[in-house]
Amino acid sequence: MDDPKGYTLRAEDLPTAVERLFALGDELIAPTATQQGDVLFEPVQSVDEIEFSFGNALVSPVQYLMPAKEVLFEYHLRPVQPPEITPPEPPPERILFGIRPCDIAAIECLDQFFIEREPVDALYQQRRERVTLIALACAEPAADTCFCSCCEGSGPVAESGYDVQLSPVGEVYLVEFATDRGERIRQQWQDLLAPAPEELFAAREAQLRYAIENLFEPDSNLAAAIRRVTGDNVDPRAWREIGADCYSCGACSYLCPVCTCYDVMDVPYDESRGARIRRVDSCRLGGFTREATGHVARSTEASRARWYTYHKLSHDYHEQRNNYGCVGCGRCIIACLGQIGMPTVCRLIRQPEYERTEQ
Amino acid sequence: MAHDDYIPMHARVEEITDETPTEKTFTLKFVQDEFHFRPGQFCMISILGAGEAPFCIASSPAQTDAIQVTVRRYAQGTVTSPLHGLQVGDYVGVRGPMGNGFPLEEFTGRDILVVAGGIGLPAVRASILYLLDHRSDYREVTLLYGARTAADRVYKDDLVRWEQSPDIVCMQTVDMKAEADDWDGHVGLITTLFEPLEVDGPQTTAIIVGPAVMYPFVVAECRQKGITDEDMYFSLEAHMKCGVGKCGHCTMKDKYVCLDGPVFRYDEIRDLEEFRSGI
Repeated sequence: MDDPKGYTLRAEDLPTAVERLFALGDELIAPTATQQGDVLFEPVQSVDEIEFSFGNALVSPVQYLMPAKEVLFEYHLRPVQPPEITPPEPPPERILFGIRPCDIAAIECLDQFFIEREPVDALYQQRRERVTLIALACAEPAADTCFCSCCEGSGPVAESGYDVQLSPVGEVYLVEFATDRGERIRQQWQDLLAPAPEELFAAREAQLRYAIENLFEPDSNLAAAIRRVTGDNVDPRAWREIGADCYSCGACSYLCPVCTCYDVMDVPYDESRGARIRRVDSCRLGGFTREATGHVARSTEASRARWYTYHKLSHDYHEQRNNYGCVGCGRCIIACLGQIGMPTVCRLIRQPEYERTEQ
Repeated sequence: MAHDDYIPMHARVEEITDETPTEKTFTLKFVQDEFHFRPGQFCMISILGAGEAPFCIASSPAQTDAIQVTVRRYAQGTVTSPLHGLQVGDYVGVRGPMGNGFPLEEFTGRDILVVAGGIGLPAVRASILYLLDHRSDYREVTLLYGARTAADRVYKDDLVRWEQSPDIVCMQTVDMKAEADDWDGHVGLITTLFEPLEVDGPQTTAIIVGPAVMYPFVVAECRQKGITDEDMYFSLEAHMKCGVGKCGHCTMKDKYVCLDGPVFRYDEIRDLEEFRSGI
């Protein structure tokens, strides 16, 4: 008999299931609540530390694949001989538990960018190969800033990209195992699972349809905005208007799980030893394109807003890879001081008066 | 590539030549590695502890045990200043080669017009040396070189040699004659070298490198001579951190200067905001 398409896990058994993950010996990263009430993905030593009832984490768990700061190598300068160079230790095996589908979609974007698009980023790949992704699908918007339903399959249920996915449906979870890494988890959970009946899939589908049609903002204008930017017919006035509200603080890109830009710099420990690191950077910052000559290629907030939006909705994503460079997680809405998160930008650039018909 | 993507090769400073008061050429000999590159490619040079920056490779691609780079020192340059402090025998790190380079093999059978302004000459020196090495594959080879003053010219020995060579037409100009120098050559902007030039436009490929301010004027002169936008090649500069198409700094629309460039045909870049912002 074929393996079932999915399994049922009773909601009350979830903590037990997560408890069993410790037996695998991997570092377990899971949502935890801070004293201020924000949710962050942190390493946990026991199930008690995990926040099971959460919207979404303030910082995306992609930080465990693409840390804000990482060592590329350490160096030791020596007299007469060439410097000694030491690459970093390989990262630990990890399980990321509780990733929302939007962040799963973001990881698919990162995989495309860092692994499928040559040259391979070996440090990302090394981390990616050592991680098991357990997704926790949403039955309803996790927050009022969510707009994944407008982002072609980013959510609220992941279509791909996970090793294991748990979808809450009534009093149970529909559990899907998609990979060998997922199968390793399934074996740990065997006695907690029962083959899922067809009706459970139908119930999830109905729940998903209901959420998309009734609970999410119906239209974030993303698809229309993508048509505008891929056609390159957005009037420059739109960018100036957006630029006027941009503080060039970089917060949107720091929290965006799809943003990948980084800076490379040396951090000396002392006279002879130190490290070369890479550190998250933002194309919204004024100095991002500053050259040694002092020339800045994108010197205005408007030009940087245009670049940021085109990069996500057109150049690197929709034109080249036919997917969205925005997963609808809504973090830019939370972060932006000028209240110009992605949906606002999309709404603005698709206004009829900002359609440019002539180049 | 493994994760030595970021790990530089060791090279030893063999020779340092003062080109101008602000520019030096470094000959860097690889400790272990062989280095094969195409003219117009670049590399990242590291001073560990200070950082890393991109430089075009200025030496002949025929040489594989060492490269030369010419570095202008900038007051705020976190890498160029320590590079200028290097002594013979010091070590630097080198990553590369990177980028596409000039497709010189596609230009065989054609006239080549190289137009270089100021510190643009290092970006085309490897190409000139390659063209001279493969001289019979090309028709006329012409270099137009402009600098601010006679003292600001780099590769003065090369220029003397090229001026005397039957294989290349080498014309120089300086923007202004300084009182102290004994320059008795042409004075005027680089565009003034075009007028007396006989160019077979449709048969000519132009290679243009220099400060961005000269681009619109040089493009206009080239078009005047009948050279099409599709036959004009530029090597662009951009702020760059990784050199491997990931850090995002050198992007122009859908192009990464480090991967898709630094060499671009004019028709590919003429409308790009980032290109136009510099000119």
